[in-house]
Amino acid sequence: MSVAAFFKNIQGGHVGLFVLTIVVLLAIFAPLVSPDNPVRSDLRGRLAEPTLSLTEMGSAPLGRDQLGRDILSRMIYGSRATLLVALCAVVVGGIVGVTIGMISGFSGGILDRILMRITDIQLAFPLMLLALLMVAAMGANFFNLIVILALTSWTRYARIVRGEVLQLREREFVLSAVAAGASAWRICVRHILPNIMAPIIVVATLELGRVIVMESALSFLGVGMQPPTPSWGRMLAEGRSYVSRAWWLAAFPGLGIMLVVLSINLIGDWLRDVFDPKR
Amino acid sequence: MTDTSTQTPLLQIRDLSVRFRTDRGHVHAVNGVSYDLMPNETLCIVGESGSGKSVHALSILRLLPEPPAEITSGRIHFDGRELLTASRQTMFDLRGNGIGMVFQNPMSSLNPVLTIGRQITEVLRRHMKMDGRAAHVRAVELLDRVRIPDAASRIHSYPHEFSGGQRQRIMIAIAIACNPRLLIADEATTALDVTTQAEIIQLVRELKDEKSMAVIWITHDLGVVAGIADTVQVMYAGAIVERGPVDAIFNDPRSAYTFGLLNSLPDVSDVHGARTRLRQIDGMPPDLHALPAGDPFAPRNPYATERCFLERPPLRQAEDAEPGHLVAAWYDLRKVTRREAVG
Repeated sequence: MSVAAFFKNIQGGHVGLFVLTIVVLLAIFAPLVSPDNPVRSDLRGRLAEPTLSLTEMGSAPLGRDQLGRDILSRMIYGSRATLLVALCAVVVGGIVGVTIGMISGFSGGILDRILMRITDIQLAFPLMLLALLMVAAMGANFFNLIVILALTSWTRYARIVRGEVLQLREREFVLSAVAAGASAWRICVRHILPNIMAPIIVVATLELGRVIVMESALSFLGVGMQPPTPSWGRMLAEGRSYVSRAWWLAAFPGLGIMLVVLSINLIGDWLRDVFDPKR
Repeated sequence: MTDTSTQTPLLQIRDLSVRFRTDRGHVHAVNGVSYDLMPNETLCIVGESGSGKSVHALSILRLLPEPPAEITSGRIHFDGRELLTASRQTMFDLRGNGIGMVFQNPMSSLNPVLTIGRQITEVLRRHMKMDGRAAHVRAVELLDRVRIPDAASRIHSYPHEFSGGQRQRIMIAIAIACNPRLLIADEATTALDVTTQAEIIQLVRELKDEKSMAVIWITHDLGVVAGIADTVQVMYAGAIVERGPVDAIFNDPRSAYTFGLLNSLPDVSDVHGARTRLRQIDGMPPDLHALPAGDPFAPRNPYATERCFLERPPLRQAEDAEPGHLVAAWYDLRKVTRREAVG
């Protein structure tokens, strides 16, 4: 394949996958690749500008924060917490939401009404208040953060999946499958679920972006990842107060979040096309 | 037709009644249907929309959503088992195994996101307990049998890559995959063009002989009936109005409704053009919410007698007709049509 043909065949999803792979690899091998200890502060280097030259404190290509910590190292370590929390929250929320949506849409009747009212209540409840209450009750740690974020996330899946299932279960191929001896469980998992992968993937990619932003909001309020553990959201929040003096504090974590969310959206679009048999 | 007197029926339906709950009360879709189906017999059920032909077929497999549907009375005896009181598990095991079903619209009856191979092997693995490899081999054989060209590679294709006729063949392949004793085709050729229709009918006839299945073919197309049926059963307002061997029904109809249906067919032998206008049956099908006490067809029947409006006629052997030719009518159609021809 010639170089021109290679670039012609490249799709957004490939770019997204490439970027995300690099970010994930950096996160996994953080101790090997980060130039500095992410939590070592050195006030001599307070708010040092991004520079490629080496100072006596070591290199800091993305600058240093208000405590003189290396932003690049903090971003590499921070991606661990950010990605892991976001991915886990999206997967947990997705599994819960899709299951509830399918049960609700497929069974209908009283069960549907009960589940949808629970969804309504969850949607109507202020998420921030819920998060603060839960942190107060359970404490802020990695696991609880996933639970909180998943709780804010499942309703979207449930709503969309229910709507799709309601429409799909009336389709003739479902009746055909029942006439061929398939049980309700089999119909849901083997016949309906593959048909709703496209909207689920779209919701999941949008949710991933939203959850990353939400995590940063929680961190900003001090109920997210606890210091000194870095996360992109926390860094963004902390950098906010210095943005007029030292733009790099907030800019690089913000750029990181944007890049990851964009990559995931590109991958989502691409996956949706891959799953579509008509292509 | 094979000699039916010595065999036990494969399917016995007795006094089946089905109704649907609606906001306006109950819709009485099937009202006291009884008949026997012999092994290897092809029964065509004819009737217009709302005659209860599809609903009664769906209730054999218990495929009606209950509620709103409700089977209020009857027995359905299939191959030694009573289906209306059968457990859910029995019905799961029977569907697609003892009884195969093909639906009207081949465009929407296959799952669009699964390859057809997966959809065929699913029933084989489910009912025949085949492993993946054996099921795959069998699926290719089945596709080959229903004349899908290049079956070995097309098995990996998705439904949208096939034509309507091919999709209906695939549906038939799924329905016959586990060698059912009964195949129910609900308007299976209605959505297809005439040549494709003829091919499908030919295919079902062949398969029926090969696998010695009984077939229930539901249609409103009398042309199809002539091509495939051993026995014809005409339904109106959820009840059987006439039933008998195919020749008897076509040559010697005894119900005014059957007579009207046959008269509404274009006569292809009339090559010189429109000498005869197609005759329609006047009036509308009855309101199934509130059926009249008498014969439901009486208001549309020019030959109706006073008794037709008062009392519902039972289904019984027609006078001077072949044995097994049953009709539900108080009048004698032969007399009234003869009088009409003279007058």
